[in-house]
Amino acid sequence: MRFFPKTNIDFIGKRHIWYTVSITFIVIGLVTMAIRGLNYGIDFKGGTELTVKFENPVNIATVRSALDKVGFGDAEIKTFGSANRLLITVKQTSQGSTVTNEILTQLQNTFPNNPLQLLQENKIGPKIGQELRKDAVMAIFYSLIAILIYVSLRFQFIYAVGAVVALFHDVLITLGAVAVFSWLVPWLNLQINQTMVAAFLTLVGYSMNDTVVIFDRIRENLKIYKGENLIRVMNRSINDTLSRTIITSATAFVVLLALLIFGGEVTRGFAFAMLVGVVTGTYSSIYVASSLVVDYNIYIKKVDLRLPASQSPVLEVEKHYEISPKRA
Amino acid sequence: MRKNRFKIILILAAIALSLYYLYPTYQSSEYQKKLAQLSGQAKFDSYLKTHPIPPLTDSARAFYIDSLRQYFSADSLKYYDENANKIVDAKLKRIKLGLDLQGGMHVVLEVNVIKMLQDMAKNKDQTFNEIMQQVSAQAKATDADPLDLLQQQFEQRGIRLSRYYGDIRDDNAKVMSYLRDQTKSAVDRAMEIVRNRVDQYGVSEPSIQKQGNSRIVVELPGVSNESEVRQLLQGTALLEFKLLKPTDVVVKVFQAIDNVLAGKVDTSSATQDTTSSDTTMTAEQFARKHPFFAVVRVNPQTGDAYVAENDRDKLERMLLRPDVQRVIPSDFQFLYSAKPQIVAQGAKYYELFVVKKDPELTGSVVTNAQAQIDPTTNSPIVTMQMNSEGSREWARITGANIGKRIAIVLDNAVYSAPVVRSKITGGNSQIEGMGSVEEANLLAIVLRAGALPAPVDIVEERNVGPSLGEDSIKNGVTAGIVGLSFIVLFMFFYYRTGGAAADFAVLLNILFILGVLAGFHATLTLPGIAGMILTVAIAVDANVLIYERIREELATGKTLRAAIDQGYSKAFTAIFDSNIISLFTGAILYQFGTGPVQGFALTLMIGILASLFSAIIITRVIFDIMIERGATEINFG
Repeated sequence: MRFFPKTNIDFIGKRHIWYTVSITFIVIGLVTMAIRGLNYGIDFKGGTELTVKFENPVNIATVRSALDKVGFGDAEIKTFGSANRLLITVKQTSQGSTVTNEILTQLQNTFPNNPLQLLQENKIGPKIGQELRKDAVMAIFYSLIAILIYVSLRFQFIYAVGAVVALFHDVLITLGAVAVFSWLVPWLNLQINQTMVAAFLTLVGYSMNDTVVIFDRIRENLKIYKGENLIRVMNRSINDTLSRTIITSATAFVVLLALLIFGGEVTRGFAFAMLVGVVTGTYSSIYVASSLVVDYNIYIKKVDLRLPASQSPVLEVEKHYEISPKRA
Repeated sequence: MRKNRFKIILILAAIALSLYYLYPTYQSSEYQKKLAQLSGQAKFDSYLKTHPIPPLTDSARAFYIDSLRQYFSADSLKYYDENANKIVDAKLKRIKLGLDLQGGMHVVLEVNVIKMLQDMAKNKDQTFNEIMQQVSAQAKATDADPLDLLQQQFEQRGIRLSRYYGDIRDDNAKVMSYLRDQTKSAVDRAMEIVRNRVDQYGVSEPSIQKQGNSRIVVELPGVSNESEVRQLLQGTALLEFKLLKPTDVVVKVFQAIDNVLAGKVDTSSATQDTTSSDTTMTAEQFARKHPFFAVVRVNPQTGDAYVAENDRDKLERMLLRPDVQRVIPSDFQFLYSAKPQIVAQGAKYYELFVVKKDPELTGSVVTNAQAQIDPTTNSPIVTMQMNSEGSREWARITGANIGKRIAIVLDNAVYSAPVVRSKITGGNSQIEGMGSVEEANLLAIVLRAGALPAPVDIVEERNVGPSLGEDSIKNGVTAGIVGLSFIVLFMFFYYRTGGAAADFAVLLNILFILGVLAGFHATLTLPGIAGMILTVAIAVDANVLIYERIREELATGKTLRAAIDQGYSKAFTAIFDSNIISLFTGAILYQFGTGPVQGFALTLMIGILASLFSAIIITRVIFDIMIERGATEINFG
C-alpha cells in the first residue's frame, strides 16, 4: 500500500505565503492572550481547587450564588467530565481544611438531598505557584538552548537557529491555540498547568524529530548533488521525506486524538496541546526551519538562489533508461 | 544466525529480565484477588441475609457481629499468615502506582523559619516583637533569607543578637552561625519527626523526601483522612499534661457566665434553676434565659460538658466578652476534645474541658508510648515511659492529684483525660479505658509525637480520592488500547511483513518499559501512561523512517539484502539525532517537574531508549533471520 507516490512539490517557493499564515496565527494567539489572558491552573496560580461529585447533576448558577454567600464570589465553577462533577477553584488557601470545609458545608446545605463526595483537593500556596511557573519557563528555555547546541554540533549553526525558531513558533502557536480554545470552547477545561507544560516540552522534542529528519536528508542530498541550487536540493529532500513525515504525524495525531477523547479530564490539556503541536511541528519543519535557512542564504550570505525559468524548482533525479517488452 | 547470535541473546535477556521484574506485579495482583475471594465479605453478607441477628443488647450485638466476621474472615487471615512474607515481598516489588492513580495525599511542608526564630528567642520584649514583625513583612515581600533580614535589623538598630539568643557574651557572628545551624538542621529534625509519625500512623509505602533547604515532600498513598494526616504532619506539636479543674468549681463558673450573659446581676441565688426545672421551656425560651447552657450542654450526672461543632465559634465569642472574662478565674483554660465525642441528629459534639492554664508537665519528657492489649482484661491500653527528670515530676504530680483527671493535650486539643488512680513512680504509666484499638493507637501516637522542634507550614497539598484514581486508570488504559490498536493495524496494512515485525517490536517495547519501571521501583502516573502511549507513537516513527528508506532503495533496483542494509544505515543518523533530542527534553522535564510530571518524563526517557532498541535491533534481527532462511522477498507494502 502506498498513500504518497513520488511527489515534486515546490515547498520552498511558496514560503512567503506561509510566513504570512504563521505570523497571522501567532498574532491571533498573542492578541487573545493579551485580551483574555492565559487560563493558569492551580499549579501556577495558587489557591484551592476541589473536585466534587454530586449524586445528581446540579445547577452551576445555584452553586455559584451559594458560594457567593459565604465569600467565594470569585470562585471558578466548571463541570468536570460529567454533569454531576464540579471543579471549583478559589483563590484562597488556608492552613488546615477551613476553605474546603466551608465550601463543602455550604454546598451540602444548599443541596441537602443531593449527597456529595470530595474526589480531589489541591491546595497550592502562592509562593509555590510562582516557583513552579518560573521552573516551567526555565525548563522550556533550557531545552531550547540544549537543542540549539546539539543541532549546531550535528549540522551548521544556521540550521540550529532555524530549528529553534521553528520550535519557538510551535510553542507560540500552541499557546495561542490553548488561549483561543479555552476561550471559545470552555468545556474543554484547558488550563496551563504542569501537565500542559510537560506537553510543551514533549512537543518541543517531538517537533524536532521532523526537523532533524528533513535536515538529515538535506545534508545527505547536499553531499550527493554538490554545487546544486540549495532550493532545489531542499525541495527534493522535503519531497523525499514527505511520505514518512505525513505517516508519522498522522499516526501520532490519531493516538493523541484517542487520548483526547478517551483519556479523561486530567490528560485532556496534554493531549490537546500535543495535537496542535504535532500539526504545527510538522508544518514548521518545512516552512519555518528549512525556509529560514534558505532566506538566510539569500539575504545574509547574498547567495543568488534564483532559478532560470527553464529549471524546475524541485531537483529531479534523472531517470534510468527502461527496457520492456515491445508493445503491440 | 551466527552474526546475530549476540543480538538474539541480548533480546532474549531483555525479555527474560522484563518478565522477571514484572512477575511480582502479577503475583501481587493474584494475591489481592485471592485474599478478596477468601475474605468472606460476600459469604458474611449472605449469611446475615438468611440468618437474622437475634435480639440482643447493643454490646452483645456488636460482639456477636464481630465474632461472626472473624469466623468468616478466618480463611483469608490464615492464608495471609501462611504467605505473609511472599505477599509483602511481592507488594514491595510491584510497579508502584502514583498518587493520581491510587489516591492519596501529597503534601509539601516548609519549615517556618520566622516562627522558629520567634520560638527560640528568650527575654522577648517590645523591641524584639517589632523586629520580628519587620523581618516577617520583608521576608514576605522580598523572598530574602529571614536570617539575613534578622541580622540586618539588629545591626540597623545597634542591638546585639545575644540579647535574645545564645549566651550574653557571644558576638553577633557566633550567634548567627548558631542560628544558621539550627535552621539548617530544623528541616532534618522535622523530617525525622514526620517520618516517625507517618510510620507510626501506619501508611503503606509512604514517601518522605527533602526538597531544597527547607521543604519536605510527603506522599501518602491510599490515605483519605486528610485532617488527621494534616494534624499528624503539621502539628507544631506541643504536648502538655494539664490538670482538669474540679467539676463542682467548673459548674459554678459556668453558671456565673450564664448569668452574666443572660443579664442577671445576682450570681448566687440563681444557681439552682439551671437544668432540671427548665425542661418545660421551648428551646428558644431556654436560649434566652440561659444563653451559655444553650451552647454548652452539661450532663447533670457526670458534669461533662459538650459543645456542638457549629456552636464553637459562638462559644469563643461569648468567652471573649470582657464582662464574661471577669467571672472566669485567670488560670482557667477552655479546651475541646480532638475528636467529636457524640454524634446526634447529624451534629457533632465536642467535649469541652476546663483545665488549669499552666501545664503540669510538657511532652518533651515522654520517651516512649505504646498501644497494647492488656492481657488480663483483654482491652486496649496505652503505656507511656518518661525520662528520669520527667518521672520525678510525674510522681509528684500524680501523687498530689489522686482521683483527679489529667488532660493529655496536643496543640490545644485534648486527646484524653484519664483519672489518676495512684502515685506513679519510676515513670512507667498505663492509660486504660479506650473504646477501641484505634483510639489507643492514636493516643500512643500523640504521646510519642511530642513536640516538633521546628514549626512547619503546609505550602502545597494535593489530595486524590481513590475513585478518581480508578477512573483515571480506566481512561488511560482505554485511550492506550485504542491508540495502540490503531497503530498496530495501520502498520500491518501499510507495511505488511515489515509492519508485522514493527508491531512485534512495539509490543516488546511496552513490555520493556513496564519491566524497567518495575526494576527501578519507579512510579507509574497518569501522565506516565500518556507518555507510554506517546512513546508507542514515536517508536513506530523509527520503523516508518527505515521502511520508507528501504522502499526507496528497493525502487532503485537493489537486492533485498542490500536495500535493507542501506535502509537501516541511512535512516540511523536521523533516528539517533531526533531521539537524543527527545531524551534531552525528557531529562530537563524530569529535573524541573514534580510528582506526576516526573513520572511522565521518566516513562518518556525509558520509552525512547527501549524503542531505539526494539525498532532498530529487534526488527533487523527478524529480517536477517528471514533472509538467512532463504527469503528472497519481504513485503514492505
